[in-house]
Amino acid sequence: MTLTEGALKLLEDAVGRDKVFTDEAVLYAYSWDSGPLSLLTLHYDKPMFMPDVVVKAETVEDVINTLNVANVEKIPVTPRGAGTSLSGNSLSVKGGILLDLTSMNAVKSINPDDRVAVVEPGVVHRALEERLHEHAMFFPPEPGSADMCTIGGMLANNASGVRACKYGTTRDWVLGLKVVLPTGALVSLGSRALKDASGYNLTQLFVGSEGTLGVIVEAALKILPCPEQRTLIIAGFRGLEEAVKAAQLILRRTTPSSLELLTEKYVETMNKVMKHFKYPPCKAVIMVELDGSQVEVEHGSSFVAKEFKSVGAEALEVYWNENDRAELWHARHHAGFTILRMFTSSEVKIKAAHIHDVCLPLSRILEYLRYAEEEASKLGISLLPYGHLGDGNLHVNWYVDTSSEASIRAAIALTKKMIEKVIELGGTISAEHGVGALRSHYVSLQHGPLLEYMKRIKAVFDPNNIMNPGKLWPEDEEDFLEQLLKKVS
Amino acid sequence: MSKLFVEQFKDEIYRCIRCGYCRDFSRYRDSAYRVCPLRENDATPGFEPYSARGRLMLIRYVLEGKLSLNEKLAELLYTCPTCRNCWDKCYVAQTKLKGEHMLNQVEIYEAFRHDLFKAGLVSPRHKQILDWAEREHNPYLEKHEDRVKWIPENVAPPPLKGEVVYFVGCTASYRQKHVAAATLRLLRKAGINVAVMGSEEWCCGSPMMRIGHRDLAKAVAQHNVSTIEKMGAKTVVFSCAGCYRAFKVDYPDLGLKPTFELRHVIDLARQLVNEGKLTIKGGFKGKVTLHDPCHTGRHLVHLKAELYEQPREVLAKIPGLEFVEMERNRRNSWCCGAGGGLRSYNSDVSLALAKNRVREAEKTGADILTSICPFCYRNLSDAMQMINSKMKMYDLVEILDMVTE
Repeated sequence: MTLTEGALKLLEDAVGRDKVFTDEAVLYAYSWDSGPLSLLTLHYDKPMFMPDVVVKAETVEDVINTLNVANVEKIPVTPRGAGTSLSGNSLSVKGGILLDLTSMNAVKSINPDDRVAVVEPGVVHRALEERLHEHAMFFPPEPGSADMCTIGGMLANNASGVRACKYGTTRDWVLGLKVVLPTGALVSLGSRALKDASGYNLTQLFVGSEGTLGVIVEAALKILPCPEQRTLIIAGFRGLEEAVKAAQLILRRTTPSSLELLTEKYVETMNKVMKHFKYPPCKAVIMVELDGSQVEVEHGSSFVAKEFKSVGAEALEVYWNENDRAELWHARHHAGFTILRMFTSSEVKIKAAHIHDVCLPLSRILEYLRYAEEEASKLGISLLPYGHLGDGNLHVNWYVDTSSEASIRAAIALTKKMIEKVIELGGTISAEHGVGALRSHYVSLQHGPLLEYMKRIKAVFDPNNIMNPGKLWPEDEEDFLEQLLKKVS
Repeated sequence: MSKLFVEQFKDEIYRCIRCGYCRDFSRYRDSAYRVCPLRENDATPGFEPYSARGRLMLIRYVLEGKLSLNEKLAELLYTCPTCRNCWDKCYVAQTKLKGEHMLNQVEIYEAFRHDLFKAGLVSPRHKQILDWAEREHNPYLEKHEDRVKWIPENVAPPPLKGEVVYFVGCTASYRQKHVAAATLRLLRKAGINVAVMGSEEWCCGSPMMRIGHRDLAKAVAQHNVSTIEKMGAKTVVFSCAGCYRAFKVDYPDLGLKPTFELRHVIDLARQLVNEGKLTIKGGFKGKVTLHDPCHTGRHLVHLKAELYEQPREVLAKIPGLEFVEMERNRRNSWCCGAGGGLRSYNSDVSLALAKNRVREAEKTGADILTSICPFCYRNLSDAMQMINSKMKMYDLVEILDMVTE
C-alpha cells in the first residue's frame, strides 16, 4: 500500500495536520512490536511492517474522521496501543494507517458501588490499577506486560496473564464498549448491567477481535474489591510429572489466583539475577498464589503445602510478606527476558524467540509436553516451556537462529507438529497472545470451515476490509517463517 | 557510509527486547512510577521514537543500513534530557553480564548524537553554542573575560593556586552566580583557602558531550585537567552536578585520568559539618523538599558514587528546617528537563518537564525547593515563574551558607 497524495490530504484535513505523521523515522518507529516477527527485518532491506502514515488520535472524533477517510479510500487501518503485542497484532502488514491510541488515556470514571470503571483505550493497565487502588478495588486480568500494555490492547487481544486461573480473561471483565465501526459510525455495545441476556453478545465478539472489526474507544470494565490477603507458595519438583500432578491435586479442591510453572533453564537464569531469594533449583517449579480473606488464605496455604509434600516437593517456601512476593513475581514476569543472558554477543542479534501460546485441558498437558519434547529433540531443538499451568496455558518456546536455513526449517516443521497436536488434544493455538500475523496461517487448522463464518462476520462490520488486514487469517501473504526461509536460502 | 561511532554498541542495541518498561511504568524494585519524563502530561507527542526502545530500534535500523541519518531522526534523538531513568528501570540494563550492565541507553544515544553531529545534523542553536564554546569556552554566549565576574566585590579574590580548587562551571559563573558566591563563602567558613581557576577555567565539556562534539569536549577536558594539575590541586570541588558528572564519567570516557580527588560541595560540606569544621547555627524556618539531579544520581550509580543520602544528611542537621520528600526521589527522581542539551535544543519541552517537577514539589506542601545543581536550579526556577508557583528555589549550598558560621 502506498498512500496517494490525495488520500493523505483528505486525512490531514479530516484530523488535522498536527496529528498526521509521514516522516520516515516516525514510520520506522512503528514497524515493530515486542514479538519476534519484527526481528526478521534483519534480513530485509526495509522493515517488513511499515505503515504509510501514523495518525495520533486524541479524541473519538479523530478516530471517526480517520476511519471515514480510510473506508472511502480503502486504506488499511492498524490500531495500536503500547505495541507490546507478541504476535504482530499491531503491525501494519498491509501498510496504510497506523492509528496510535495511546493519547486517549483517560480513566473516565470509577464507581466502586456499581463495580465499574470506564476507561479510554490508551490507559496503561498499571495506571488503572493505581487509580483503582485508591478505592481498594482492582481489575483482575494482569498480563506480564501490565506496566506497559494498554487496556485497548488487552481488549483487542483478550489478554489475561497470571491470574486467569481464578479470574479468567479480559473478556470476562467487560460490560460494555464504545466502538467506531469502519464506516465511521460510533456504536455502544453491551450495558453497565452485570448481567445481560438481551441477544447476541456483540461486546464479547469485539473483545479478542484484534482490531479487525472496528476501533474500541471506550470500555466499561468490571472491577472487584482488593482481597484482604495474598500469599505465595513456591515448590520444586523432580520433574514435570510431579509438578502437573501437584497442580491437579490443588485444583480439585481449591482455586488459586495463580498457578504457574517454571522449568529448569528459567530457574537457573532467574536465580543468577535474584537478589534476596532463590527459586528451588529443580527440574520443575510451581508458584501458587492464593487470595481472599485471611482465614481462607491461611487454610488454603496449609492445604497447598500438604498436597505439594504428598507428591514429593523437594523444596517448599511460603511467602506472606508483600515485598518478598513482589520480588519473586518480578522475576517471574521477566523469566522470558532473563534467557537473553544465555546468548553471546553474536547470537543475540540473530536469535528470535519462537513463542507458543497454547492452552490445553490440564489432563492433556503432560502428553503434549512429552510429544513436543520428543519432536523437538528429533529436530535438534531445545525447548523452554513455562506458563500458566493452572489454566492450561503454556508458552513452549525456543529460539530460532534467523540466519540459519536449518534452524528456520526446523522451526516451521516443529510449529506445525505442535499446533496439530494441540488441536488434536482439544486445545487452542493461542490462549492470550492472539493470532495476530504470527499465527494467521495456522488458524484454519483449528477452526476449519468455521473460519469462513468468521470472515463473513468481519464483512458485515467491515465491508471494505480496511480493519487490520493480515491478522487472524492471512490475506495473500505467505507465512512469515516461509518468507524468511526463502530469503535466507 | 563510514563506520559509525555508535557501532561499538551494536551488541547492546540488539539486547533491547522492546518490552516497553522504558515508557510508562516499571515494577523494577516494585516502584510504580512513570519512567520517561517526555511522556508525562503530554510533554511531547508521546511517540514511540521518544521512548528508549523506539530510539534503539531506529539506531538499529541505521546500523543495518535501512535508515539514513536525517533531520527528523536527529530531532527524535535530541529531544531527550538523558535523565537515565530508562536505563534505571530497564530490566535488561539492570542485569549484569560478566559484571557489566547489559544495556546502556544513554551512552548509546550520546554515541549516536556524535554520529549525527559529524553528519552535520546538529541544530542551528546547538551549532551556535558549540561554535561559541570553542571560542569563548562557555555555552551561554557570554564573553570569556566575564567568567570571573561572579566573585563578589566585597570579598578577597580567591587564589589561583592551591590544594583545593573550586571548579565553578559556566552556569554558576554566568547565570546562577549566587550559587558560586555561596560556595566560596561556605568553604571559607570551614577554613579552606579555596582556589579557583579564574580565566583558565573553561567549560567542563558536558554540553559538548551531550550534543555529540566529542573532539571539542576532549580538548576542553584536557585543558581543564592539565591546568588543575599545574595548580597543585589535590581536591577539586564542584557545585554543579553536570560538571561533577563530566569529570567523573566523561573525562575517563575521553581517555583522561585526573590525578586529583573529585568532591561535590555538598558531600564535602557534610564531612566538614561532621568534623565540626562547619558549625550550623540554625535559625532557618521553612518546609523544604529536595530535587535529586540526574547527574549526581542515576548517572553515577553504576560507579556507586551517587549523592542521595549526603544532601539529606545535611538537611537533617539544620534546626528549624522541616524536610519533606517528593513522591519521586533518589533513583526515581524526576528529571528537571534541563540536561542532555534539551534546554538549548527545545526549551518548550525542557520547561514542560520542569513544570511537572515543580508541580510535584508543590504537592508536598513545602515552601522551598532545593537542589544541588545550578542548572537544575535554573530550569526549575524558570518553571516556577511560568506557573506562578509560590515556592522559592534555593541551592542547598545557599541554605547551608545561611545557617552556618
